[in-house]
Amino acid sequence: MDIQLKRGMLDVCVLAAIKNGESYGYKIIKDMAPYITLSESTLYTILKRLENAQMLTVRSAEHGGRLRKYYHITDKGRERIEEFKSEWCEVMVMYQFVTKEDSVND
Amino acid sequence: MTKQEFLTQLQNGLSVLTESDAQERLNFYSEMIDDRIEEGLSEEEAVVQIGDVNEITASILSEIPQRVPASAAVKQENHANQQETPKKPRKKGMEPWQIVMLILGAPLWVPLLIAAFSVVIALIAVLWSEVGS
Repeated sequence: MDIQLKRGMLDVCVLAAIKNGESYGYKIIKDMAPYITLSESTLYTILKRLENAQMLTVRSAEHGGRLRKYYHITDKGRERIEEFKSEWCEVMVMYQFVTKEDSVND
Repeated sequence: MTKQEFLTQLQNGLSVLTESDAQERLNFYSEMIDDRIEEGLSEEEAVVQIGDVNEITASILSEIPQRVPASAAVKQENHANQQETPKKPRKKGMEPWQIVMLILGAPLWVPLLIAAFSVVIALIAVLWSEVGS
């Protein structure tokens, strides 16, 4: 898969991981684990990128005697998710067409 | 490897980054390790799960545009590497000092150039006249 494409998609996945409520680094990795394996360094880069794009905000909070960073989705982040969903509806239709051709020839 | 050993090694590997950039990343990994420990893993297991510190360092450094090439980063001696600043792309055209030198040296190289040119012309003339006779 084109690396830029994958990168963009992983960004949206991370947004989806925090769309229902704020989350923190390790929890995001755990939530995505059944679907996607994400390394810490990849996640760090994604979170930084999303923060710069103002699609999420970060706050530090005390947890068990240490500081933990919590990530919260913004309206812009939610818009990106919606944009992704409509983009991929189109892709799924094309996928159905491409794979439909295969089954006809079998 | 203990958490502290991991973080120290990571910090050494990231010495080319700015202090705040490196610190931010260290905090991130520290948090990740702590969260795993909180889940019930031992410190050793948590560090293992995060991954190999050299690989992590290499991948971080490879993301940074135009700094240290990834291969050099992995085998670097950090301080030695700090001396090697990234090469800036050559500016097109000449440096100002080179232009100044060219102008100042003109009384020297211009006559020399003319002389050399004249010698060449003379040689050609001689050869040409030889051919004629």
